Amino acid sequence: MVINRKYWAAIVVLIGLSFVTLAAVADEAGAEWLRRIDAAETVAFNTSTMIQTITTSTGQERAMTFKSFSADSGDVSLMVYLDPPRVAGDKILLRDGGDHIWYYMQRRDVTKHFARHTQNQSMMGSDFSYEDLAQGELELDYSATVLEEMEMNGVPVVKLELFPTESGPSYEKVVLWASTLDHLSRQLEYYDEDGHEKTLYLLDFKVVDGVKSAHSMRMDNVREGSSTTMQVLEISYAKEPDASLFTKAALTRQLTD
Amino acid sequence: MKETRQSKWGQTLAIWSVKRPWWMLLAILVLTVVALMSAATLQMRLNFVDMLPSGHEEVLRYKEVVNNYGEALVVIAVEGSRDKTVAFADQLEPRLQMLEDVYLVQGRLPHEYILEHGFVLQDPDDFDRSLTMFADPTLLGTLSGFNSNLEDEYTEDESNIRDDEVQVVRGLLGTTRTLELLDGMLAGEADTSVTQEAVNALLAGDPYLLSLDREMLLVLVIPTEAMWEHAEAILETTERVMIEVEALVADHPDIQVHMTGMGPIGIDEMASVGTYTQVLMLVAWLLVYVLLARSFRSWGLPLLTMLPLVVGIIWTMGLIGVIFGSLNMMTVMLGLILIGLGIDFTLHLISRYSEERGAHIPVEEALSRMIGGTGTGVITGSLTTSAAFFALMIGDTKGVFEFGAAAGVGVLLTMLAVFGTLPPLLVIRERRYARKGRVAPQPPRANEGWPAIGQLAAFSWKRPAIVLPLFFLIAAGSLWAAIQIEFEYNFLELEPAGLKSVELQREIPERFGLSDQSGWVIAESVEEARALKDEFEELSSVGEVGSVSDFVTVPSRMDAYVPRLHDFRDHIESIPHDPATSSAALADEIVRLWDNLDAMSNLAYMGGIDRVWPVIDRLTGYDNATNRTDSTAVLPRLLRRLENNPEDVRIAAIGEAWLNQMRPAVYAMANPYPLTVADIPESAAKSYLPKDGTDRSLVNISPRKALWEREDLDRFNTQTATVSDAVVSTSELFIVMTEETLRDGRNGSLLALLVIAVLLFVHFRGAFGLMATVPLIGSAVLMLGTMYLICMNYNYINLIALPVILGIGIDDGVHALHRYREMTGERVDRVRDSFSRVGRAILLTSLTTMIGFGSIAFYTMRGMASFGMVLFLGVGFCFVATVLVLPAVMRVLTRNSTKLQGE
Repeated sequence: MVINRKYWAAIVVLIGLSFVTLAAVADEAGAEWLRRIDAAETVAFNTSTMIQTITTSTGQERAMTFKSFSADSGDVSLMVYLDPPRVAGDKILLRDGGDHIWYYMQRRDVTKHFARHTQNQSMMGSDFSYEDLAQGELELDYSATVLEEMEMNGVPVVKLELFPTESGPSYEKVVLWASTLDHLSRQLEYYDEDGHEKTLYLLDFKVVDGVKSAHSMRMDNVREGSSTTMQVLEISYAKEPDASLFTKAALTRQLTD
Repeated sequence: MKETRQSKWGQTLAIWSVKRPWWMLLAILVLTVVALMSAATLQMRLNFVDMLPSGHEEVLRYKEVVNNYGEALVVIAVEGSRDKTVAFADQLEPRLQMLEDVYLVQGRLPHEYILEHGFVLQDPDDFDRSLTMFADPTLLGTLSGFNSNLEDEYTEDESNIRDDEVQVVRGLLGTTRTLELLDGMLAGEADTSVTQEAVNALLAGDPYLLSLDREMLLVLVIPTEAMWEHAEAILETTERVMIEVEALVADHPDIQVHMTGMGPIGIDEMASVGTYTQVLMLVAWLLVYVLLARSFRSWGLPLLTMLPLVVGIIWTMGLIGVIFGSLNMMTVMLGLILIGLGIDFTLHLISRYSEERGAHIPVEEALSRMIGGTGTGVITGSLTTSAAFFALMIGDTKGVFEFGAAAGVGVLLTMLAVFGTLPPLLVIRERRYARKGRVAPQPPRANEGWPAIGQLAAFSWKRPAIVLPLFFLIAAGSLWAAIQIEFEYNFLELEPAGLKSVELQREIPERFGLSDQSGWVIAESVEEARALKDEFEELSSVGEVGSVSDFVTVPSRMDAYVPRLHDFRDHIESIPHDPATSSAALADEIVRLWDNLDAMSNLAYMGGIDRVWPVIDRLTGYDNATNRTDSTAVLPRLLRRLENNPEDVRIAAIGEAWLNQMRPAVYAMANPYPLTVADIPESAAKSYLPKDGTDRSLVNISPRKALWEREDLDRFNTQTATVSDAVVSTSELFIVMTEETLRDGRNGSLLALLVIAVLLFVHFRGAFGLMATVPLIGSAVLMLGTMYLICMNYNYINLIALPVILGIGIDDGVHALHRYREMTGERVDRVRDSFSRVGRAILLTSLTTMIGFGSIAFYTMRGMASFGMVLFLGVGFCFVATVLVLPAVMRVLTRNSTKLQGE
């Protein structure tokens, strides 16, 4: 049987349309998940005390404790180092989602502005980049495809493949696992042009002030063999930090609380 | 109980031995002298390159690098204050360079070349920064320019500290020297003649290879020949270097000198196998002798067990001399292994002879039974053992191949030596006693063996339902444990603990922030070398990259550089001679410098950039442990002098001297002359250009960490492979050797097992013979389980023990089965009786071998010690499995088969 050329064209169009429709449905499902995750994870402000442990260039581990203030849904934040004594009182102020960074050193009473840095640069020797820590909106930064629903460590999760939008982060792609129950991320794999670079594990979920969040994070850099952990010692979502904290002038002032 | 089998060839050899013992020994002596002459020509090639497959791609690359560019054989680490170590190095370097077999001594960087051409060699960013930083050559202007540069480059972008970590440290060491000299001049401790050094240190860094704390200085010695070409000559070169160092150390009491590198480690290894090892060996021999003497109730008989082995080893070494001409790291242990294997032959034979003589059998008949009865087992055992070793020849690894061939031949020759030497010696012994009117003494109840062993074997035979499940349970646990054991790739972990030459291999990367080991790749052109250098420097595991491109200008940049350099020179010349320096302004710049450096140090600390902050802390006096600042450190001291003595006339003199030195120095550095390969200083040419005169040049990649740990090496390899897949390093070659040896050893051992099984099947004319592998497999499994329990890792040296265990272990089973088959009677009695008799010899051979190999377990060289321990365990478990497991297996497998019963 010979099929008419018109029929061929119709079949091709139909197949094409079905793919487009499927893709659109997939995109819509992915976008919906991103909305849910954003809704679960975005907090307007918080105050916390954390311990950060990094792997140094000689392969040692170094732990530093700092108090962190965040406001404007993560657009501004201030870290005040508490320990070890060498850096106690030093502060790092991030404004505009990390576009502007100031460092205050208490021992010499000097303030330095980090004039040049890129968002994909390592944040103070950690395995987190500035863009990893910036609390952006997933829905704006990525498009997503649902890969599968599965179980991870006894928690039902959805596995999403995220591709950055034009204004999004510098990664090639991110694979994200989020709980289908509370919509909070459990694990993220970051890929650059050379492949798998890092994996972020979110652990020890607790509810404080009605907000559920991970109280421990570990970023493993599979390429460098290094690892950074952030452990929350205490956190509060109850009171918004004073806006004056997030100014360069406030860096030299002693913290009252 | 009756003996069942005899052989014609055994009778013939017995007759010869009785009738012509001296002629036989004379023939043996002639052969031995000839072999000794050949053995005397043997060379020792104890380096890992000789273990590798010669056609391996990485080996060829490595050989090309080392043949054409050399590799540091000796690394001299001088400890003390900077001035003292530098004074020593300045005297040592020319003395070492005078040694005829030394190709290059690297003690300091080609500082003068950088000072004459520095700016034109820089990349565009650094070029811009340098012209701005040094635009004002006055002391105040220089400090101000330096501060501005720090602020632009490092305190306003902490990531640059990380990216330039090694260069930052080198620059800081130079800055430290400059500030020290300035402080010395201000204090009146030095006159202004040191200004030139202060200026040069700021412009080009400290030229010496100094540690981060400046308490250690390195001098590297590269020989004219590669290690594998003339290993002995290389060790002699190392010794000559050591003599020069020792001669000079006497004049420098405030320093300490240690050495590392393959040369000193090789010498330390030999020293570690020195007096202590010889004492251990003597003690082991003494113990074996006493054991045998007690067992045989004779002081002379034990000597007869040893003499044939010495003959066999000499024959083997003679043949190795003809075939290979040298001993490698594995075949060098062959003598020891042949003693371990060969003593089994003589002990079994002597035990049997004693047993027959103890039953008043005449000498010729006793010899005939010894040779034809037990001798058949010995021959079977030696044939299977040699076949096991020959199976190792399937390996590509030269070391494993040579070991397989030499050990296979060695076992056969030792067996021949035993059969040729022992019977006439026994006859001569009998005649000596006969001349005195006595009968040669034999062990008491020699014809009964040791009944306790027979009882154990009988228990195993009678209770297989208890013995076998218990064995399988332990074996299953051992197999699980065997999988858990890790492989030790770190070569340093196999060396004697506490050796300074070994410790330095770990200490140097920690103290210098760089490893003294390198990765190398060959570039076809200067431009390729430059491109490779740029790409390698981006990698986090790479600390520093050196290449010929460091000394050659980029033609395409010259059009932009030349006019700017001319302008810069004009500008420098046009600056009015106004060295007036205000102490207050200088103090301000020092405060600014302190602020900048301290901020850099804290940023480095928070960022985990561990090589930078300790260097800065020494300058600023900040003590990380106490959180206090030492006011006697250079920067606080300098600031105090400026603040406390603002009218000091020395400040003006220093300012004058500074300008007088700085102006011509930066003028010289702004030399616009384009540089080609022909302009490169000699030390750099020897480092990067090949001896064969081609255009190919070496790119030297220094890792941040030492590469002895497998994961560090893997990371370095993975990262460098993204730039070039032709990078090679000594550490990588060591891994190649280990993995190839592991693979060949595993394949060879599996083939050996197969060959053994076939031989046993043929020899015993059926599946009955396969049961001889039971002790072998049982001991291997139990040995692995015990290795896990005593926290021992696999390594390439103790892996050699595996085929040796195969060789030794198979003998126990073969002799047990042989003796069982020789005997007649009820089966349980047959087992009890045969194991009583053969068990005595098996126990003796096991104990003597365990003592011999056990003594190696006490060696200071940990790799060798693990080899000894593995063999000790393996041989011990072979005996246990032969006596306790084999009879139970025999009972179960032969229950319904006459053929399997060996009838």
